[in-house]
Amino acid sequence: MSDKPIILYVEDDELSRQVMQMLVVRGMGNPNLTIWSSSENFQERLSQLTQKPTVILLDIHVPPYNGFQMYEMLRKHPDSHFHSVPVIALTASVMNDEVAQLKSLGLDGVIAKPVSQKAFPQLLQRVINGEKVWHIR
Amino acid sequence: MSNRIGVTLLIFFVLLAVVPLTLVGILALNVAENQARLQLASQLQTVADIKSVELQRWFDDARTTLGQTFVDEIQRERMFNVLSQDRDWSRTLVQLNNYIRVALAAQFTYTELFVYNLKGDVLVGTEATRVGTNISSAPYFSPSLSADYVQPPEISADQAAVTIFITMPLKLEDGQIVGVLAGVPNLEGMRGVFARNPGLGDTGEAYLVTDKGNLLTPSRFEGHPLLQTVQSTGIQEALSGNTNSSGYQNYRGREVFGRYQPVSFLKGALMVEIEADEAFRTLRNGQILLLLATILSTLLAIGVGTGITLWITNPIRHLTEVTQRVRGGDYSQRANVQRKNELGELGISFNQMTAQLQSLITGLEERIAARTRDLAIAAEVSKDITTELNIENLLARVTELTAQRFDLYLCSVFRFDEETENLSRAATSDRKGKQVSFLESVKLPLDAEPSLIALAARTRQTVNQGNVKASATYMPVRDYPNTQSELTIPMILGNRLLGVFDLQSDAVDHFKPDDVKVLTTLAEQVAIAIRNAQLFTEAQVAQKSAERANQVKSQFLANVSHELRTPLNAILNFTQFVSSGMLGDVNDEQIDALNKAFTSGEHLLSLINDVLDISKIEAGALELFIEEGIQLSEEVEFVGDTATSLLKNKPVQWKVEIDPNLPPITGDRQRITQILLNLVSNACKFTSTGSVTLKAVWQAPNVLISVKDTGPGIPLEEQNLIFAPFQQAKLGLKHGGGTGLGLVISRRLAEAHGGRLWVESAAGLGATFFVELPVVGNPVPVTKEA
Repeated sequence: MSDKPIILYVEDDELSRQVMQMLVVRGMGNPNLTIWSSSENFQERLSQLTQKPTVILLDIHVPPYNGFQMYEMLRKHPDSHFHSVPVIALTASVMNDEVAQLKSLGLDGVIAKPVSQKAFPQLLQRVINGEKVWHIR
Repeated sequence: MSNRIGVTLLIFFVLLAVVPLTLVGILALNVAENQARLQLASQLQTVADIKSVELQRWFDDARTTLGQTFVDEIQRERMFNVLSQDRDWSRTLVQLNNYIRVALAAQFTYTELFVYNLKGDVLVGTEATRVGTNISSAPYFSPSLSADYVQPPEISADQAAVTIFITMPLKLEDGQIVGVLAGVPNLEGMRGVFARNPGLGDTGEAYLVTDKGNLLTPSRFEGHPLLQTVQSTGIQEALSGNTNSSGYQNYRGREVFGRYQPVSFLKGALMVEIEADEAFRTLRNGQILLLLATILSTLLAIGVGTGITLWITNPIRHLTEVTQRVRGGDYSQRANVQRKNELGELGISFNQMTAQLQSLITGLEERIAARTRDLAIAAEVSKDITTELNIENLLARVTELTAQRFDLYLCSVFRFDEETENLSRAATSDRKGKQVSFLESVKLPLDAEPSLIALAARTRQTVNQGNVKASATYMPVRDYPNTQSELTIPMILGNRLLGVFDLQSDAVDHFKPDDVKVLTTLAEQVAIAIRNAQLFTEAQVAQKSAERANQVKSQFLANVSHELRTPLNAILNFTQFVSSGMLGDVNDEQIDALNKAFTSGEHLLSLINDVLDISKIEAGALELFIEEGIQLSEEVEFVGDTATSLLKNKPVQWKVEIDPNLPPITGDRQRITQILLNLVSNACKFTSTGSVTLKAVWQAPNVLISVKDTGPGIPLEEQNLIFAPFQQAKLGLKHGGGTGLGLVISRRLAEAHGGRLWVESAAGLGATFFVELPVVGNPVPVTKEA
């Protein structure tokens, strides 16, 4: 196991995917990043992952499923690894009821878009350490 | 119940009876005792004097008797011759001895007689043993040579006998003393003087004591033989030469009162004594009598006192008891004092007073009960209607309850229409609480006549018509012809006439002044309820439209925010990727341009964030994401970066002073940082020279953070303005940028943490912003601000 986190990112917006890729792979020098552009067959694809992610970042609007549904699938996945892996919403929707809904659902945090290059590595580390992170500005 | 007056009176009586009696008695006894002592002393002195005189007489007699020894002149001459001429007198002496024996036998006073010359030679004597001896060594010898002398009693060595010598010098005609005649008297004679004790009762006695303390005369009492050595204070006093009377313990150990005096020729003492018990027996009897009298009079005083006390206090006590029962609320109590004196008058006055009180209170209670009942009904009706916000229901309810509870023939509410100036019947109820409808027109112009309702509305005065049949102003109603009296009350709120409260009774003069008061109060309550219902309806409409508008606004903001954030994510990050050289070399000019683009993007983001925050706050839906153990120093680092970049080209120093003892904070990490960032970036923007200082100190139970700048400061009149939404102080506008929401949001965030945010500043003196945060966060929901 590498000491760099294994990240799974689900995002339908292409620009956001590119930003994340540059930020993580080139900016943080971490090659353990898997990016999915849709949530199709989400559960099956999770089972097929060779490297089990240590943190999962979800956009809230990734058809066909939304973030809440994906979170449900993760936590009810046959592989119990996905029952405890930290799950963060990475979203541009930061109105109260949306964030509160995510929080009450049990997500480990919310990071608002736009992602701050300065803050992101630190936030990621805190999530992996088991902290809840609510970075909604 | 205490009976203090009784006890006081009784004590008074007893004192009055006993004290003077006791005082007089003691005084009298004292006087009597002194008198008795004086009398006794005088009595004893008399006895002593008599004894003394008798004793003296006995001695005088004895001396006379002695002097008559040589009554025969021939024998006398012979005796003188023998004594004065020194010759052989053998024969003469025989004759003289014979003679003297005859002389002794001729009297009873002496037991022995003898004569001695100046040398002490006993020449003649009755006792053969003494004749021929020389007595010059005897104590009486030398005094006897010059004058008559009595030798004080001399007790023999075996204490069996006592001897007294009485001597008499024998003188020639020319006075020359040639010898001495001596006699030993028989002391029985002397003792006879003391054998009787007249005036000395059963225990008194008079006796003589020798200088050695021997009884010279017999004791009256057995067991005290002659010559016994006796002792007492009195004897000592007398032997010391003192004469007096006093009480002391005598030789028998008895308390006596005695007279003592010395008897000089005997060198002894004369004692007259009587036992104190006997002497003062009368006095003791007096004391006992006095004691008995005192006890008797005390008992008498208690008896009489108790009687009088009860006679006085019983009515008082009775009055007190009755008073207490009256005070306890039983006004039917009456006092029973059958006396024809002041107490009787007091009882009568008391009863009159209580009777008045009773009638007063009974009347008052009845009135209060009636009034309370009416008020309770009015309150009940008021309470019932305040919860009803539908006006039609409200008025129906008011009329029903009022008619029913006050037992009225009819109760109606007329509403006034300000536009048409008409009164219209809104609700009418009969006494069963049923709504009734009317065939007649329900519209009533304000100037309608005759109409008590229109009159009340027009004059804005309550109209109370006690007998409508006799009134010209009353307009009968066909369906309800039994109305006898009517009360119409205008319902006015502020200056607005809302309507008329109309109450009708089928009894003449039904509405009394008290009823009018209660019903007027009720009418006021109805007016308020009508107004409340109107306002509520209006408010409901307004609130619904406002809520709808707010929902639209929130949705709009959410959409705009989302739509702006997604492209901003690309803009901000790509400019940074490029400027950091990640995507290939860039020159300084390009970096500068990219940074400007980045900063602008960030500014746009902060505007979006501020607008979102304020809308959350206004919606009362700001939520904090609380975590524990926030180290302020870590957050300050991040703020410091911003400060440093803002102050890059200005001569302003950035200082951080964090108390090393600062405990970790519980709160929303991002929001706390947001506050600090807002305050620091404001300070940096407004300060052109000097310093910006961020300071955090521990002031249990709070952390106090301050951001101090040396900028232009904020005038007092603008200090409130900077915390109002969408307001920017003049300077803020001048410096441009920002929504003017930062401080508003920061303050609300601080408050949401259970803390405070405020500013201290004056124009030209810089500004210091303070944030006080409880260490253990106590977040409260931020409510919508009016």
